[in-house]
Amino acid sequence: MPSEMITLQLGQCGNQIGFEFWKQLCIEHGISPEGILEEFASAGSDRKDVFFYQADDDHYIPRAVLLDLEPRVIHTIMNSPYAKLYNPENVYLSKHGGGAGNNWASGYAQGEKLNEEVFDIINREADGSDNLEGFVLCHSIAGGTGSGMGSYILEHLSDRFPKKLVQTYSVFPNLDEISDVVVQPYNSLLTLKRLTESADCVMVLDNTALNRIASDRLHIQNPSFAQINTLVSTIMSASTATLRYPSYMNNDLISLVAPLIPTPRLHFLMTGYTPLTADHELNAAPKIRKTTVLDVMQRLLQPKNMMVSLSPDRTNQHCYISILNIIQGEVDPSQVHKSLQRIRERKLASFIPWGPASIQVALSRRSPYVHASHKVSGLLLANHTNISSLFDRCLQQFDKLRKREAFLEVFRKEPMFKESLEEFDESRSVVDDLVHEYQAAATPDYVHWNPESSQI
Amino acid sequence: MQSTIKELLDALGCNLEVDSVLDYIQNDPNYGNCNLSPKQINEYAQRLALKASNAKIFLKKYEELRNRNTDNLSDIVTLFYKLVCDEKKSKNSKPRVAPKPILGDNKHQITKEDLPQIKDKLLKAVDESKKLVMKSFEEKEAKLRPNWYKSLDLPNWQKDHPAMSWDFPKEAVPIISSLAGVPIASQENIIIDELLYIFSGVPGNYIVHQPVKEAYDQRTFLISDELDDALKQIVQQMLPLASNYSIVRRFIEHCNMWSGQVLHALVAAIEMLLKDYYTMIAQLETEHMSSNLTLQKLWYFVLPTMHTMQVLAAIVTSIGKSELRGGAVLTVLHEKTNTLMGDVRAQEISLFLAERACRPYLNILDQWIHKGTITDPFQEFMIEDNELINKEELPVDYSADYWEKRYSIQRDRVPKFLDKFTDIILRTGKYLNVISQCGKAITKNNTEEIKYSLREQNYGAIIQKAYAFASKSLLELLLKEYDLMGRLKSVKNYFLMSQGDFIVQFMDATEQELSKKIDDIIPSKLESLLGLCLRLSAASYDPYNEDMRVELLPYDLQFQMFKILSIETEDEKEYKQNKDCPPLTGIETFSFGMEVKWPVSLVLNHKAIACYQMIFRHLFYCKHVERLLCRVWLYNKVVKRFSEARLYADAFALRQRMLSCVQHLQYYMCVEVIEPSWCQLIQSLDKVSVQKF
Repeated sequence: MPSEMITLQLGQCGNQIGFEFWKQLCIEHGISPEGILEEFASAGSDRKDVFFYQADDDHYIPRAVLLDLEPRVIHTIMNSPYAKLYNPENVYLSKHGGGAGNNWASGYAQGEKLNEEVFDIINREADGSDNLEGFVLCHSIAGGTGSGMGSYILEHLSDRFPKKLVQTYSVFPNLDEISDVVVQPYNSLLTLKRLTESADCVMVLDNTALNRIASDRLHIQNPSFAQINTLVSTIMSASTATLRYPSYMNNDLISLVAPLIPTPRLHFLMTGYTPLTADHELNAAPKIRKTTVLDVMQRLLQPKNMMVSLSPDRTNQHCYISILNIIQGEVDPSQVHKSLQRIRERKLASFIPWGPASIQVALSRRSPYVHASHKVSGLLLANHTNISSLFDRCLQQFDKLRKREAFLEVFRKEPMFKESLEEFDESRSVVDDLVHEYQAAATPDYVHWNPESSQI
Repeated sequence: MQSTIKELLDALGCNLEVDSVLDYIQNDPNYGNCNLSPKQINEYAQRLALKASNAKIFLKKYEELRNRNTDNLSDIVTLFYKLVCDEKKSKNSKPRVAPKPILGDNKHQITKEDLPQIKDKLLKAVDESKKLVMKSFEEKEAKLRPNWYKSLDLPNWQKDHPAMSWDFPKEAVPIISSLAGVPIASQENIIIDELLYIFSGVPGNYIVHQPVKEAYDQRTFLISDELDDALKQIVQQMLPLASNYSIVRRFIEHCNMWSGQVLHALVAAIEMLLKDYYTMIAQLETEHMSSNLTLQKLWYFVLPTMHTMQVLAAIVTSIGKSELRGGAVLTVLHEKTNTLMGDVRAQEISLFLAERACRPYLNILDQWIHKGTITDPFQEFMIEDNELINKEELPVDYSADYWEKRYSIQRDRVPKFLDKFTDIILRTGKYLNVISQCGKAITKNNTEEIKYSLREQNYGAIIQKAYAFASKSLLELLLKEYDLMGRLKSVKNYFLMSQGDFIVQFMDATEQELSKKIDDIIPSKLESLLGLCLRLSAASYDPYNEDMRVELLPYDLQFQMFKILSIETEDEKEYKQNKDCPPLTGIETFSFGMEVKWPVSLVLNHKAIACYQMIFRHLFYCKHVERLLCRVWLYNKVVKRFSEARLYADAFALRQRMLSCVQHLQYYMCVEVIEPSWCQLIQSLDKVSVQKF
């Protein structure tokens, strides 16, 4: 009867990070790739049933729905040792198998077409849980399936389950590289609109930052998808740690998310994690680093550890709306107290002028079955007004393409855009509003907003 | 003590019943903790005297009592003083509950209208207390003397055969013979003979004893007038020996079967000393027979003994006069030994007596701190076993009572040299007792015997050791056999909410039920929901989750706190009355309960559980508020689709501040208070178990 979460994995990217996530959860809960509880993990005080349920033969089955329009990634998963873990009924592959061709409109249209079958699976999953708390959606916003179909599902999830939380792990494209997906700015913008209006909490995972972290912090040249996805799964597992290892507080997702998101639209969260170690480093020469709570908390506030790359805040007017640190490991609460004091004294984090300004801390246990190379590790979940710069960049890229009317044919093929391209403009204005709202949130009169005065 | 109060009251000149005062004193929380210096006490006494009807009599009585070494005198005087002064201060306030206004010497301060009331109260109070005191006295008496006592026909030797006494006869004997005309040399001879008799308590022909008024008065002697003045002078010098001997003898013969082991031991020790004394008399007599003794020589020989006897007499007087027994005797002996520091010989004697007298007492102590049993047939030991009932036939609240009430310290029986250890001693035995109640044998070897010594380190060390052993054994028993840690953990899990998933689940499940008014709630429904949640959450791994109960308390937490703090001002009264109006909802009245079995219930007794319940209710309510705010958040999220969403920002910011406040408060309570305290507890428990003895 706990607060269960259903995970929806969409598209290539979504399924890949989802796969890594389940791998990580299995290790942390002592569940074998086949879904059988390992012997050493039989008497755990962890809660497996948030993300898993038990089949009749006691196998643990993830509450996961795997969706894709092309078979490649799902086939890889089904050929991995973890194939037996998933409920085969929850793996949905489009029969036509051609994918969405990196086209948002195609993905959206296919989502519409397949909606009955998809929501059958989701409804069945939802019925199977006693007290469903919400959904976790893993996808990328740049491709076709994750963004297009994801958008469709997002819109309808919030209609069908209005009282459930919808959290997404959204991978933003790498803006440093020239992408092979030329319509990526279109896809991103159209998805952003849905994320703004239909998701309750978006964990922004910026491929730009992830790549930067992989190369700068982990010293991997040309990081592979798998390596990047390990980073993501680390974040996903850490951010759900308090749900899976219950303690005094933050035992349901809402108590974790609600304090971070003061007003419904400002729900784009950045993440940061420290200390990070890559597999190859662990094996070669593990760097011995002293990790203290203060250390971890200070490092979490450094932009270079953030999994979102933001434009430098030149005017210095941006600030945190809220911060939650999930500290894992052997932590003395008094250290946390002292660290918070130090951070406050040094003014390492500036907060919005109109709300409670402080860092929240949640202490969590770590999995007893995973050897941790560090005594303390920390995850930062932050709501920062400067995340608007990310959306701003999306807007700029979108505008560049839109001005030239480039690559619009593929969209026009789909019924949604056949008549007009209004949807683009509408989405643009939603995202633009979001950017402005974020910027306004940094000012003291955010709460006294008056539509008339702002229009003048 | 009763007599002391009576005497003081008489001297104060008030017509108050002793019993009611006694009753009052015993109910006084400060009783027995009076640690004022003698100087202060004297001052109090002086001031009291000013108020007494006859100051001189009172002061005289006070002096007398003080000299008599009465225990509790300081307490009583302080109390009296306070009563008198308080009465003055509170003159204008309403008449207090008995027995304060009863004090006779304050009567002039009470208005006439009050008189009949006071009279009524007085009569009632006196009546009740009288009954009570009588009852308890009878009970005690009955307990002290076992049943066979009545059937035991003990001959009263002293009464039937007064001549058996080794003291002088009770009645005075006249001087029969005359020394007139006897030459001085013969007079000396005769008088030596005479003195030797007198020294062993036999009246002579020319020197006769006088009867004594009080049991421990100095005995005076009449010496024949015809005796030569020079001789008379020497005789006078030596007579205190006889007088002191007489006192010692009286003390010994006054002691009977019921005087207790300590006095028996003391008397036996004195008898040993007296045996030497008789030997000396016999030797002197032999000397005298062979005409080698002159009066001067006798004086010379007797001189050291005189000193000894004087010391003895002083000791027995101070004990006998205040009719001490048991531990109090030891206190006197200990103090005497200490004050005789400069006088080696006297101190030796005193030490000898103290050591001997201590033996039976220390034997009892030994039994107590090493075995947890009391063998105290004469009610002398500082700890009284109030066991009347068997464990099996006890009510639920047994353990608390057991711990608090079964063994009680009798302050007046604590020898001064054990004063510091009283608490430790009490606990040592109690711990052992619990162990044996649990059916465990107390395995202990190489115990050292406690011996009396002037320096405390000796028995201090042994007591400490025994205490360490007892507490360690009990702790081990509790930790290992009864899994105290597991119990504490489950307290932490449920009452202190560290099992967060269970709490969330439980609140989800019972939300509907708990939002009802208290009268509409069906406890059995809650109970079954609790059981369900326990089985379904991670709490199912807890072996003690069966013992969890649901309790609905008829008052809310604030009311409970106010009750405990007993804030009694007008404001609070108003508050309370207002509070009564709306019936409580389930959330406000709900608390977990826990069934704890003996002997873990010694630690997790009702008081402790009640404390945990209070913490729980506070946490529970905070959690409830947090959940409500989260729910508001969930309702609010729909706003984001409206373009006008920012209009609500003000309200959202307020909700956010509230949520942040509640969460920070919870964080503070849980992570910064409860968790560190828990860690500290674990650490200190670990530390104890590591120590070895």
